Amino acid sequence: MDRSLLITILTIVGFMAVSQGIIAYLILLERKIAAWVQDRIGPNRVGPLGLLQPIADGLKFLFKEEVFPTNVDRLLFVLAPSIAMITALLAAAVVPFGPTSVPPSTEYQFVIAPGTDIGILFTFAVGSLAVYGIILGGWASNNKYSFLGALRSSAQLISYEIPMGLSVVGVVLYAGSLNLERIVQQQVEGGWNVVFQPLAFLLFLTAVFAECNRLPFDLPEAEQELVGGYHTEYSAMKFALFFLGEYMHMITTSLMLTVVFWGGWYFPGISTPTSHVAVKFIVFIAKVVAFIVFYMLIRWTIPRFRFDQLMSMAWKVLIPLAIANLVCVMVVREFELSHWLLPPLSIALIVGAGVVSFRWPAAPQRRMPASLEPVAR
Amino acid sequence: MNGSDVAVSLGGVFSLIVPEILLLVVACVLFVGSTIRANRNLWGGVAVFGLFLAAYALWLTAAKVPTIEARAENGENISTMLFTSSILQTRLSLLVSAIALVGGLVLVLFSWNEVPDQHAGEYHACLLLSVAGLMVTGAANDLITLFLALELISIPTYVLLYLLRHDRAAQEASAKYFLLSIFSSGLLLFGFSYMYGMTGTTNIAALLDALARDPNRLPALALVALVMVVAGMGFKITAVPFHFYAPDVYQGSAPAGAAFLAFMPKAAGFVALLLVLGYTWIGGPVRGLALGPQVPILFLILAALTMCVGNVLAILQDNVKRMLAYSSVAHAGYMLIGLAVAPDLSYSTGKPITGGAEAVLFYLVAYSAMTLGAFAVITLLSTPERPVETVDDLAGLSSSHPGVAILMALFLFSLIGIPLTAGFAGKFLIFFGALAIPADQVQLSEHALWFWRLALIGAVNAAIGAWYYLRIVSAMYLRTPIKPIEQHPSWPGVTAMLICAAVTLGLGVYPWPMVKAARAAILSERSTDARTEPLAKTRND
Amino acid sequence: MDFDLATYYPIFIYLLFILAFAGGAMVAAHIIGPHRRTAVKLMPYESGMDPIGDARHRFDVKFYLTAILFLVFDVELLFLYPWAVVAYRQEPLLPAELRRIVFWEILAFVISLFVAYIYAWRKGVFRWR
Repeated sequence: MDRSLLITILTIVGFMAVSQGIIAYLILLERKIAAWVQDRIGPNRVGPLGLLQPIADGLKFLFKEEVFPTNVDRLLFVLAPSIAMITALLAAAVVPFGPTSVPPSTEYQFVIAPGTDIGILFTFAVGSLAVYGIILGGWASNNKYSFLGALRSSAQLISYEIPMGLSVVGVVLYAGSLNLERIVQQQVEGGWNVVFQPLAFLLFLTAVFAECNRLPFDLPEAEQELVGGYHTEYSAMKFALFFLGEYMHMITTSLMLTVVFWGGWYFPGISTPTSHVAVKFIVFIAKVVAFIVFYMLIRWTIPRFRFDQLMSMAWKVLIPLAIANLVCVMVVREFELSHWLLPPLSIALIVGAGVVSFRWPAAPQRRMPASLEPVAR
Repeated sequence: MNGSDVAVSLGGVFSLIVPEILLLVVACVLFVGSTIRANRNLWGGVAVFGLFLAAYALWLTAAKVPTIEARAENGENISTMLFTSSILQTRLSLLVSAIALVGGLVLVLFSWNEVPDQHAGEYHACLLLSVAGLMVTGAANDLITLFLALELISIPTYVLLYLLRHDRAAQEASAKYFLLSIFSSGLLLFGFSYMYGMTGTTNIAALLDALARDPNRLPALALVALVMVVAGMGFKITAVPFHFYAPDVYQGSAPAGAAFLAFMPKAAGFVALLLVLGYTWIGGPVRGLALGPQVPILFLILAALTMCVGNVLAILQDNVKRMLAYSSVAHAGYMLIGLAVAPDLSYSTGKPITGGAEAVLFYLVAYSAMTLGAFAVITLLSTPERPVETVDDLAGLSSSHPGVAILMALFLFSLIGIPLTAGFAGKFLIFFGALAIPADQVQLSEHALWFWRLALIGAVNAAIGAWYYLRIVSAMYLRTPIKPIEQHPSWPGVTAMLICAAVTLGLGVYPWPMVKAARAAILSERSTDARTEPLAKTRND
Repeated sequence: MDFDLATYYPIFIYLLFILAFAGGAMVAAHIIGPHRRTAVKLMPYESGMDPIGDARHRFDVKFYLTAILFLVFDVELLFLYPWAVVAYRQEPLLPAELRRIVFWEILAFVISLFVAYIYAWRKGVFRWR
């Protein structure tokens, strides 16, 4: 067998096995952190410290009854969770999960498809297909909670996709490529993007939180309002696939955050281009884990938004900021100004946005003059 | 071609579309402004300002950048520019821009008081966008630019039709127009894709050049492209059988919307046909698709059908707007005669005669003036309480509004084609073109016979047309009002009417400058020298 | 960078693995899990009530507006990406003479979009009632 094909298959198998295992334990970690934040003990019955809990959960998914409620559209009902999981996994295909090099090295590769030119675009494109899983699930269930959850969710996902995409354009302007390995390489040479474009990082972070349906953006499945949102009617393995998809999304976005904004494996002084692969790998994974833990901490720190606040946040805060940020980066790049000009500009934009929102706090509720309302029919 | 050439040609393109860009900027101001202030006088004023600004910019551009015809006459090598630039400054583009700006001014003026305050800004913004679209249509030298320009006209139209009025009829009208219009855009694009497929370029000049290499053996696909393009444009110019939406949409929408539809898409459609089928000068008169042997037949059938259906059905109408809709269909038929005749005129012996494509342009201007005028009258006399819908509503206009009645009579006489009006001059040029095909040439004798018959059909139709136009005139002058019209026209409306009347009369009494401009737009000076002779002869006749 | 389809083979192989995984999981669960249906169990969940009517109702036009705006901005994004990649890379794909023109064009593009954005905001598209 061709050696590169063998490496590819080994990578895929390894990545899938490890990511599934990690997801199982992430759920345990999440519950532990929740317990810790709320001053509880958390799962501790299955195995020492509850360490066998994920395995028990997995088996339970397999042995529970699958329910097809009477009015569901059976094809879409089955298709929806598959789409959710397939897209979440597929989006990770071009994202490095360890040290990489440009051009792709033959010794090790910590990315499934190295050297893909469309990189980020592929991740965004496939990742945004996840909305189909959710909306099909909600539609197929023929349940009012599911339907509402799916509608909200689709509106939320498409709204936050725009700031997510816009914030990365600035990074691409510096890297000159959509390939994620190249973006890392550029940061090795020029420094972390988060230093130069902190606003873009913040926008991206907020947007990916929403894309993952994580608190404070978990409107689609807000238990208190919608029971379970789009997956109210799902049980057994299909429910598990939705969850797998969601956690996979979380991992992918943590990888993306690390790669696009935090220099990937690069850490000045600790992990430099001459360091050993293991060092690079440890640095990389440390960053990713930090993001995942950050996700979980945020969940217990910030309460859920109301839906109108959520949409206002995307359309009235993130998008204009993203456009302004893009224009700043554009101008700095075009006129070959120092890139040290970028952080102050970013901070100025953040401060400006803060001032605006404090000066006119009631802006979202402000109505147009009655004379400008559409003419009554 | 290296980078600097591209840069120069791109930069050149931008300097050519400054008037359009200004219009777009003003439209943006109107759109955003309309959400802040609801004041029809303010936004109407801004729109008029925008039109004048664009006209001034056009004047400067025309003075600074020589048209491509002028360059050719000066002996410059224009082929690079012709085959690479997507926008060209030609005499046709200048003429079309002037028509668009004046037409836009008239439309802004007479819908001034018809739009509700809330929608004034948006309405005028949409109007300016379509004016910009028409201006780009005239200058387009690339299929993509042309298509974008046409969409720049269509898309604001959908909005505009519904902004004027919000009742169910207007809803139906705008939905109908929207659906059929996107369908026609699809047909057009389909035709364009064939043209691209045959030649491998979207540049119109290059494309026509490639097609004209061997005029006797146009690829079979050219026929598909031709049919698709004509069908797509046929919708815009309301040629039968693509006219069927027109009466419903005209009747359903407000008079200003109907006037817009009667002017803007029709002008754009004819100009685009002239460009795409290769009727215009670019590199020599009549080439490309228009050379195909099927073109005269196709347009002949279309013209005869369109005239007959339009006129006959117009007789049956009682609703004025519906009648004017059918009348606009009929006038499209007259103009199609010009398109049918033009190729043969150009073939015949190198001494082509006035008629054909130039006549189409002339007729377009005349038609726009008189139809816009007629709609302006209806618009100004309509109030929500007493709309002018049927012929009876105009009864006794001569006693209540003598001045308006005279103007309306002028527009109607011009639509009939009474001498000393623009309509007469236009019809004269068109029919004369059809009769001018020399029958003594073997390859043209059969066509000549057919064009004689076509001219005859046209004349009969003009007579039929007289019937229903005169019906309105007689209602205005000979009958007493059932319910008197109390609406007093406002000054912007009167201005619009007077502009239309001036053009209608002016072109009727002294058509020569316009004839010259139209001919210059179609043919270069080099070839027109030989052509003034027969025209002078007809003047003496 | 030259385009090479070989770069993309791993993605297809990966896709096969994922499909197999998803399908396998579903089928396994279907075979292993019990199937004991009752009428009440198969009823759509509506907080314990008997469901009233169909869930597939007409819904707020707001979602439609959001979708349209999303299309506008997403298409904008699609235009920005190729430009962002090509504009300033080391091995220039863009002729030097064109750089400034392209920059102004993109700026005009972004600004015109921003005007549309302001219009939509002022029109109350972002206001959820």
